[in-house]
Amino acid sequence: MKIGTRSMAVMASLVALNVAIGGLVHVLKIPIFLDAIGTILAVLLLGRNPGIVVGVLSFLAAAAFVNPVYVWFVGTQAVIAIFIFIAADRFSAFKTPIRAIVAGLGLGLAAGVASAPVIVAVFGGVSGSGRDLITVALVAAGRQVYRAVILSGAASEPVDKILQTLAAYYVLKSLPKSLLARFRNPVLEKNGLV
Amino acid sequence: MVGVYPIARLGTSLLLLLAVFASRSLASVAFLYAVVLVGVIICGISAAHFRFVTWVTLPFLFSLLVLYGLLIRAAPGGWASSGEHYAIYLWLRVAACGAIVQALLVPLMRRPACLKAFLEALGTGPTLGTLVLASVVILPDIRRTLERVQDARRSQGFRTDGLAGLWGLPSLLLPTISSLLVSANKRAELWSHRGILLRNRGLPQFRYKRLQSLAVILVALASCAGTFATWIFTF
Repeated sequence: MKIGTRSMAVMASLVALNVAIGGLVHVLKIPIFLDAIGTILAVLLLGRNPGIVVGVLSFLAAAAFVNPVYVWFVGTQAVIAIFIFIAADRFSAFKTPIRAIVAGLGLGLAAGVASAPVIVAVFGGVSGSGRDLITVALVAAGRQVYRAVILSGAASEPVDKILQTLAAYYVLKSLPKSLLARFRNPVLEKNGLV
Repeated sequence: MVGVYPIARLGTSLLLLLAVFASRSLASVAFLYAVVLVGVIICGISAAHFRFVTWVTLPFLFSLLVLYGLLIRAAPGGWASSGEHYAIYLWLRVAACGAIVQALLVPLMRRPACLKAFLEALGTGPTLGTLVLASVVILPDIRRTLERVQDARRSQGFRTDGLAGLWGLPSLLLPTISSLLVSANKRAELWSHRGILLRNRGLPQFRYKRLQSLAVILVALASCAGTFATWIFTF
């Protein structure tokens, strides 16, 4: 993949942003992850493939700097990048705040389903977060572990992902259009951001 | 351990991960974890691993004990004697996998020149190496920006942790990301103007140690052979 100098600088910054925010949320014990905001911004500013690269690299870096568990979720980051690209390119999901919320809801469901097999196969169905309370409650109610993990993901992930898509929307809306125009990404035009 | 050849380093890590997932008894996963722990100590990352075990894997153990020890009360497939036994096995597996990933990645991230040599030796090309290195170099800058914004909010009297921190996220993210994009543009102008990214020729060649690589491969092979032997005897 050939990457221009501007794309390289922005991608490196967004990888670092994903890692730094993931670490900060971990330290401040804020009850969400916020670990994909860099990936979402990378897709919107640079396109699908740079978004996938930013997502995968940021989780590999986070595995080294923050928590090695992140390494198992690089696939989820790729799914997030692809989902955001389709939502923004085909459905102009970042044109209004309501659309951004709907995209966040869909993203949460997609990320929850994508991470469920990893959580079951690698961690036996737990994630070491507040999401486990829902999983345990569902198992206690008679659900199988795999179904309980998918349902707990579908219940907890959308809140986190809606916050991230909304944050990405407001950040891009508040930036000067001259700055965004430099990226020349058609997705920005389709969403009325430039 | 950074002196181990990249292919050997990645290969032994993958082999050990495979062995951890193939092991079907508490004893064999504990044995593999002990072997990897020796590697962790040699790498000089025992403090990072201790933090991981304390802050990350203990909540996992608690959730696993509740799930398999109290609710399900059995192991899937029935190969562990009890739910608690299975929960401890899973916890050890998570800790062992974490140790393998840390032994692979942390020493490389701490020495960026080795990281670039590692990526290029794996055939990823210089662009990816430069991108990874650039993000490692930029990371402290972004962390400082985040801390500055947090300090500003704290000095205004706002709480920045827990649920209160959640409501303050927009005021944290907006200035951080704006400043990040502006500085990324400035950085790009500087990099393209000076042609910094094209200058790879002056980099010193990294020297790998054959004996160290051989020792790591042999230890990994011996541990995996032991694990697979117990696996075959179990069935």
